[in-house]
Amino acid sequence: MAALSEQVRHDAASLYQFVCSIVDLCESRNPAAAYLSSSERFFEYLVELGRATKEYVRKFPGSRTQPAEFLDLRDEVAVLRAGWQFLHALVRPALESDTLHLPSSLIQGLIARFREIPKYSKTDFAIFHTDEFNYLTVRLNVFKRNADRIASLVHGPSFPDELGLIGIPYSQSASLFMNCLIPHEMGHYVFADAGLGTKLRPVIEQQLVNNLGNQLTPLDRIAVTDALTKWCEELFCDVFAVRLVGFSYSLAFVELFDTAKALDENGKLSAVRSMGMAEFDEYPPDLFRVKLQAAILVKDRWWPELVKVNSHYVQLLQAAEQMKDADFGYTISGTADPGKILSAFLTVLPQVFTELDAVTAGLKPGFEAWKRASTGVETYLEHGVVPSSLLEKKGELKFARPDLVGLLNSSYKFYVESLDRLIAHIKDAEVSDVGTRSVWAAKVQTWTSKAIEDVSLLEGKRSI
Amino acid sequence: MAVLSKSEIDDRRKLPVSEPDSLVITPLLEEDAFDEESVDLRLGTYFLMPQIPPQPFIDPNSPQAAVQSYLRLHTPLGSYFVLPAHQTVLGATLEYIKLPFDVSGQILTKSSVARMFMVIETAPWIHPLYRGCLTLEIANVSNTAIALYPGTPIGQLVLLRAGIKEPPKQLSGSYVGPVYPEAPALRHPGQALKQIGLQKYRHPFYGWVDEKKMEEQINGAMAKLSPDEQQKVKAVVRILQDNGALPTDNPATGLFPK
Repeated sequence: MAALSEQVRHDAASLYQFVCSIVDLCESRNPAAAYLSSSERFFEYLVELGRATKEYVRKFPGSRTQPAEFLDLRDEVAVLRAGWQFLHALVRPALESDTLHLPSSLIQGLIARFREIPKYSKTDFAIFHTDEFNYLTVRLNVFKRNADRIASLVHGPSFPDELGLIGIPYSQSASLFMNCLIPHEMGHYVFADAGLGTKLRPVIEQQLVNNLGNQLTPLDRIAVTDALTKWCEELFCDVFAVRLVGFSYSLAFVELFDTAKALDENGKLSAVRSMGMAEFDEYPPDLFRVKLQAAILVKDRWWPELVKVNSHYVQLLQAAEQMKDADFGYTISGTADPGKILSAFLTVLPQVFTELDAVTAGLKPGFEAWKRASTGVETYLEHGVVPSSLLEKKGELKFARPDLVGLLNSSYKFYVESLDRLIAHIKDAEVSDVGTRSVWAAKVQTWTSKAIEDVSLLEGKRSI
Repeated sequence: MAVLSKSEIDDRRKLPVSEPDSLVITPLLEEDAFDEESVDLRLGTYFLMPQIPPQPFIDPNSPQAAVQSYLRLHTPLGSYFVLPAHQTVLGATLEYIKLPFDVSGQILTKSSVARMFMVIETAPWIHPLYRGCLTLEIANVSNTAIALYPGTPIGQLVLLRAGIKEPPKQLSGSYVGPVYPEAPALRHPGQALKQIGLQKYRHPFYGWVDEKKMEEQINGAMAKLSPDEQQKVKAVVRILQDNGALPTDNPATGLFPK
């Protein structure tokens, strides 16, 4: 058997090779591809951390002479390898997410909108593809802890404080509307960054005591508090997303989860069709989430205009908004009364809204911008024109520039309500044909994406 | 056909988009993009780079040929794209244009670009009512590679009155909406030749084809079969189609739609 020092040298070389492979991928990424600056930031961080790791392990075993010291080094190699294996999982999805395979203009617009919150004026989000048909955020506390453990061992850079990591389904790179769900993932970043889980936990625990007394065992109390904190987080992310981008988030939510299937032929909630959609489980039920989104739409003044929109998505929002707390259920094994747990949770909810107001202080309301832009944007879309410079008044060369929130909500409204108006202008295009509708819906999204990019250029936010 | 002057262009731009004689050019990043009788257009950020296709040549019989012949690229503003000497690429204008119903357009290479021996358009005519970013067939005919910077002026749009009195009731779908450069929509040459009375054409892979005669023969043979037998024949053809033995560009395939 080789000497212990030789074994350590071998293990270090093996790790070195592994880290090299990741660093090389990040450094020599496809030169024909372009990346958002946030992704570049992520790659640069990995390269720096990789270099520091390589530099550190290439000195192994150094001046150590004792068997215990060699074994310590071997442990370090194992820790570093495990850490890099964790980072490894994100490298390929991030490399595949170049600007050609992301809704780049929307993402840049969303980041700019997010940065309107003074506290997050420098925050960036690197976006990567996921194989799942869902949106997700990388738990930064877990990711950061892992990355920083490597950094502390190798004296490398710690993970950037103001960088979030969000995954989107790989198939949705061209979709504008579905990607209105990204702000929910930004909400997870805020929830973690603002320590809202830690803030809400004692409130939840207190409400559980108030409602259940000592019905819960200590272990159950922890489990139930965990569950309720998770519900709070999901709901916070929903209302945060609505505050950031308006009802376009809710429409995307209804679309992704097919929530409108709960409606009957008269557009009313059907008890049979909505079965299971009002039951709290690991996550809050879809209908409760929609109800809470409706509440924030009311609070932020969107609601009176939104309910005029002729769409089954909006009917669903209205139906959910009418639901009573008693319409929602929760089942839990054990002796605790699930009804009381739910009551405890509902009493915590106002705190979620309070926290939302606190973290979004300074964010410009989106409703007014949408009201100003809506008619113009829809008219341009109806006539097949990118709505980036809207004529303000006939006979005058004055043009308005709709902002991101104005564009997204006007465009989504047009898509759910008025696509027929656009198709009616097109020769030989059959409104009733699903394929035709899909083609023109895609065009509406492309025009809106182009408008987002144009407006950003017109405002000089991006240098030419 | 008279060229529209700047004031006439402005008059059209002042009209609401819903009016058929309105003109839209967006985004206009500088007011001095306008000359007395032309508008400067900038290079967009998306490209279709010709690549070696799986077939030995581009055959318009194959609808997939055009798509397979290009590699899509994105060069963000601030970066550049190198076009090698004697190479071509499809690009698009940064500006999205909506032409009035009575105005045609012509896009010309900017003289400063042309003097680097670069041509941006080989099909420069733009039909009335066109709306979209203009696809540019960019060719570097010089002996040196040239760096193309998206966002920089590359062409000039000249607008001309077309003398059309009435706007059409509807738009042709093919003129509405491209934002990226578009690969050619290749059309089956047999159809076009049939329209001018030619019954036969020579297919690169299948030799001389007389589609009408083939169709008559197949229909005649099928008519002699019972409905059950016809279904069996169709099932066999379907198996051949599904397994690539009757590719989409085979003239017989069109006679057995899936």
